[in-house]
Amino acid sequence: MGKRGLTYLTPMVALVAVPAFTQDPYLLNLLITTGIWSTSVWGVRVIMSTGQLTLGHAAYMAVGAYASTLLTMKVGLSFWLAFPLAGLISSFIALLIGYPTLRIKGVYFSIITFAFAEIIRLIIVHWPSLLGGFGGIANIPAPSSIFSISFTSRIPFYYLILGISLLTYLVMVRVDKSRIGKIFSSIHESDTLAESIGINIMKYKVTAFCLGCFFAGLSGSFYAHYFNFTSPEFFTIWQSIYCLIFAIVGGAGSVWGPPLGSLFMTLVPELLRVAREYEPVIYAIILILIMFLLPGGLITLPDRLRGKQKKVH
Amino acid sequence: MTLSFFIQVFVNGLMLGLTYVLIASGFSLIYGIMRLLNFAHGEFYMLGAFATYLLCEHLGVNYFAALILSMVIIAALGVVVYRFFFRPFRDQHDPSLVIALAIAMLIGGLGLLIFGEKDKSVSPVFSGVIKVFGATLSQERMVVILMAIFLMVALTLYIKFSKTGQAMRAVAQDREAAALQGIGVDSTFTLCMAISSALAGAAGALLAPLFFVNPFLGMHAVLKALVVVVIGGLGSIPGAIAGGLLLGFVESFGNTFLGDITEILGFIMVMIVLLFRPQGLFGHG
Repeated sequence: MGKRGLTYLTPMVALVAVPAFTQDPYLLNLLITTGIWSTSVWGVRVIMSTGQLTLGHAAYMAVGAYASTLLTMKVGLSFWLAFPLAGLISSFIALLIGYPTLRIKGVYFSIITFAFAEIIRLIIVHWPSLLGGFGGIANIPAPSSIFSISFTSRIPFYYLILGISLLTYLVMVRVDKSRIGKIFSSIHESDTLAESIGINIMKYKVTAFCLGCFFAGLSGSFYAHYFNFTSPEFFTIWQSIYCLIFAIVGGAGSVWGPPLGSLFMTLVPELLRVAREYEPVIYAIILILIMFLLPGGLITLPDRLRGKQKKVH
Repeated sequence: MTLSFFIQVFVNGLMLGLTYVLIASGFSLIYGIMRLLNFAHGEFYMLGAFATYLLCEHLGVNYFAALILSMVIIAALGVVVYRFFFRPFRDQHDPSLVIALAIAMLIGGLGLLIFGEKDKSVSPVFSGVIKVFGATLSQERMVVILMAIFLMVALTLYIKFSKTGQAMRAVAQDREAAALQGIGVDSTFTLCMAISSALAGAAGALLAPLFFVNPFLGMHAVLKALVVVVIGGLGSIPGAIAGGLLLGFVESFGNTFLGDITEILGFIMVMIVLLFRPQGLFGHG
């Protein structure tokens, strides 16, 4: 194993070993929250890699959360089946929305994702009999025991979200290195140019959108079953904006950007020990600083410190 | 449905629509000329309302003086935000949208910390009512309707006939060609930010006596503005006027006949317009 292998393996071993050193529920909760964010933010990044800014990612988290809540509570499916289904349902909704809307270029995609996200949120608010309305749905069951591991403490949840994040990471690395990833970035560089050399840009934009929303759905499903509660308040425009800015703060150019951004943005308000009201101000200041000083995101900080000016698109 | 009831709902719709027009016109102006979705526009509106509240309720300034002062203060703020935050990202599509979101979060967040989340109110300037065909219409609302119409006429005439207004349209059409004709693109953008922000300030000042004033107004307002300008056509002032009035009437009649679910209609209209006529009802292809 070379030096490269070690750089990937070290954080992995460290993350697996965390519960051996601390079982502090507060700390584990922070790491679990980071994992939930990362999974969703990876989705934003893959959509961004085709040059589209989504302002409605929270809607697909909501679809995942409510789909898996209904599948477990009303249909009686096990979490282990409802969880992948939640991802697929989010992805399917993204296909229905993405297919007609992705042909519209530029800023219109951002607007339509936002409008659709508000529609989803308002449907939840105005359909209390099925979706719980404003008050949300409580008592969502935790995942059932599997391999004699029962989900009664935070540790199994920690390993579950770690596994989900690892899986997402591997998919993202695979996409980046494959032909599809190259096509995504060619569309990002110039969609007219990509189209002129015979790339079906619609097909790839829809693929990226569905893939991104699949992970939003998984993240939403885990969220609901971890907190045992889901409500439209979790899935406002703010949640969508946070997904976007976490990706930018971490660095959308790298696959490590989303988890780094999610970790950083989860830890900073905690470390500053400030009330929740300060969160938007802190996030805004961080985002502005990043945009002026480190446009490639935090992930480019080591290169910047070493004086290498790597160009990031 | 009696005539008086109809008139009541109609005037409510007109009132609501003009509210949206006031907020959306400045937002649309910025997009039309600078190609920027200025998410901070709603926060300028919120600050305009707070400026009026502070001037009237704490400093005892006359309401109409407060209206003018709020417009000036918010215009100055808009210019500052443009110079320091928007200009560095001027020709970059996505970063300019993100920096506008960041500024919106910053102003909204600071507003919450400074003013607190409690609703404030500005005492009404006019308290009488007018009876038209049996419908009761408050004078306050009539004044807002007239002021909104006045501002929109002034804005339209300014853009159409003044030299600087024509310069704005030239920059909107073709930035390079306009620059070659000796039009300062940067000064045009600065002026455009000032006018747009002044309109947001005016909207805040005009609506402050009608609604409660709180720091959450901004995000709500900019999202409504987004809906309005997409329906009317991004970047078009007549589009913002038509889109605003249309949304106002749809919401007013919808609330009367359909109830709460009406709030979803605006977003459905956005989706339909973008799918079938992405340039908006009044935009050019």
